[in-house]
Amino acid sequence: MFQLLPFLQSTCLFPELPVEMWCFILRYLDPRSLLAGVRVHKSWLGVCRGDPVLKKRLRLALEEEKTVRRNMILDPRLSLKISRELPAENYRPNVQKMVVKVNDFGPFTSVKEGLRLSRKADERKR
Amino acid sequence: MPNIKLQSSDGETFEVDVEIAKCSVTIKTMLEDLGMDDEEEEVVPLPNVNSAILRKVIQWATYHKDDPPPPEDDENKEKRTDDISSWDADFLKVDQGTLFELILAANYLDIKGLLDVTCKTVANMIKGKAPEEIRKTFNIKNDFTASKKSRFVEENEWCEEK
Repeated sequence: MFQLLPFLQSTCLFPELPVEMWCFILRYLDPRSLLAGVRVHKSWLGVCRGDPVLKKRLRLALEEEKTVRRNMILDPRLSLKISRELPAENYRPNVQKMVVKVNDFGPFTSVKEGLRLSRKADERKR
Repeated sequence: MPNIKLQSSDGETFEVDVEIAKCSVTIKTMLEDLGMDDEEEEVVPLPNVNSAILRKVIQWATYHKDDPPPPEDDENKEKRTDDISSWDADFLKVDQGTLFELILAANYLDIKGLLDVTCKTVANMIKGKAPEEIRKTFNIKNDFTASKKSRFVEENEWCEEK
């Protein structure tokens, strides 16, 4: 069929599998993997648009991703933590700064939630 | 136990126990609709399945013949993909072409268990990977010729339309 209708081939990712099968497979993916999958090939985006369940899940993933990016811009504290190894002393040069990536509470937290968690972690350390 | 003969697309005939063949809803429905006579030596043609794939399907069905029927699934719930049994995992250690053909055969023969497990395997190949890695896995060329920006605009535009 694809030899007769070459334009169809461009609409189908792998000629081996029809769209409904991809739909079935993509339903097994979590939102984040689905988002990555959609970025692989246009036809998967087509599959997701045609399926209400996948469409909903994809929208969820996009919103999550937006939140994460916004949080990173609005509050860098959520992703990075800068501390000094030694207690700061006046007039002492070259105190080594430590930059620690804080990712204990996962990237998908809101600003409020993240602040609460980081405060909690600080308290625990003390 | 009566046997049934299944003929693959390339003409090879397989003799299978009826109970095993009934894993396939397509064959089961056909037998129920047509009725089965023990004396008749009818051959069931399966034009969409070749002999290599049919052999694998029969192997799978023979192993899983005593399984309970899979439960109806809720389509809104995210399904697990890590509950593949070790036998199935070994069974599905094949190249991608065979795997896709198995999916097609399972779909055509309507064997839900096999379809589930093969689709899960493919889903696992995608799961947790970046787009570039997925492309490498499936050997896909990047067809997003538009710039990155317009791609995101396209995705988000669609997201807002509801």
